[in-house]
Amino acid sequence: MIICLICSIIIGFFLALYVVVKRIKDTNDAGDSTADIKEFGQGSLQMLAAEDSRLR
Amino acid sequence: MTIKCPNCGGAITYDPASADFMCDLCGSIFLAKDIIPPSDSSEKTGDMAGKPSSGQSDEDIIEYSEDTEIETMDYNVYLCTSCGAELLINESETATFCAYCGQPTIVFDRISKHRKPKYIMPFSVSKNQAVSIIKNYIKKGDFIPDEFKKFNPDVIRGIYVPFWLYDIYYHDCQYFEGIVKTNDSTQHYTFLRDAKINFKHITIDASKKLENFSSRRLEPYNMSYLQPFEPHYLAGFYADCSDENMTTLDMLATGRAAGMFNRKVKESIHAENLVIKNTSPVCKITNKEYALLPVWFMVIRHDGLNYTIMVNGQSGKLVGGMPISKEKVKTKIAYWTVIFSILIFLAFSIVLAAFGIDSEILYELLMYIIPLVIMTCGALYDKTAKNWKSYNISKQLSSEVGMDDYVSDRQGDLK
Repeated sequence: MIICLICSIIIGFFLALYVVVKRIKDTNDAGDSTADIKEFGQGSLQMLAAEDSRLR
Repeated sequence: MTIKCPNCGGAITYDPASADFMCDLCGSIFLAKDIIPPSDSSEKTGDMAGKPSSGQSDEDIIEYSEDTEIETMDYNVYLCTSCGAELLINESETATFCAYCGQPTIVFDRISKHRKPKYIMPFSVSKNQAVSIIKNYIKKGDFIPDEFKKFNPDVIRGIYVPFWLYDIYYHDCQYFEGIVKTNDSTQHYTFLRDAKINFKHITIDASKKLENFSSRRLEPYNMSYLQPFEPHYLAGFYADCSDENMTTLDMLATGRAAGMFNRKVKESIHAENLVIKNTSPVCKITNKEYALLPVWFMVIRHDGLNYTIMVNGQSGKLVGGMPISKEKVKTKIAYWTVIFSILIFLAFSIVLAAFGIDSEILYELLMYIIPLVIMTCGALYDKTAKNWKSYNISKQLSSEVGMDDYVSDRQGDLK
């Protein structure tokens, strides 16, 4: 039982740390995304040729 | 650049809420068409010289060259003696503190000629809207210190930040090697991808004052809101000057185009351990235009540091890392540790009872349990560290650390 208790406390602590830091990131860090190709790509990527070949 | 009210002679400023001009003294409202004289320029918003069509080869793409005379205009330049920022302000405005570092150490420096922007994106988000966006965000923040929440909304300033809008033609034929795993086999593949793209209006900020990483977070801007530049739009706002050299800006723009192109090409390949073996990129800047884009800046001082919170003046997107209260964080970690420990312990007890595992068997299982616990904690720690790193980058960009780097870079090492 002591083993279970120690394991529970260790996992519980790391889980609590994860939850709190995730919450900090979600609520204290505004606008962490940047624009992607869709914002600047006129008609987006135009594939001229695509080939997949297996190596022997 | 001051526009006088025909009714009372007061100064007229641009009002983002109504997209019209308003007299601060008598409250008269004037339509933009009555204030701004019709432009004789035949160019329309978003025109792109040398714009490649989809059927053209790389050789047909006309590379941008600046052969026309650069138009300039006069600004009053104010200098912040604290952080070294230069702000361009039209003569109807009085600067009382620096919009970047919040210090009341701003002095009139000179009247200076600067390159006239080709386009301007007028503010769509009003001052009150920007303040509400910041207030609402701060209100939701669990760990934001209470003192931080009591900020003075009067210190918010609208700044037109200089940007270069790049149109870039990018073509590359790439060879990759990678591993494709199926249910019963692992096979090595080569992949060929020949693709091209015409990027339009990649925004690169031309102010050394603003970190590139911060300005990218302000994106996207809706380019359909761009207007041909008229100095009247500056009424009531600050404008920053372009102080980054063009070679650096060109490199940033082409580097960004290459990054987005490569990411998109890789997304089209479903393989692991993808390694690029050969590449032959053709990258041409087909056009670039100088434009002023709107940003609201709010500097909040907390615990000896200045935090600069920004709001995209067109979309209302908020950018900035807020400080955390260490006491609140410690309390929450302790609280959740107790809750999770009890729940996990109960779950352990139920499993042990259900499978009839006694202490002796549990001791034998220890060699499996310990690695399992270590792996679980390791995975949680890894995710936590990534989130913490991301938050810290935002906080550093917003706080004075980034500002100090700027001061050292611009004014020599003052520390």
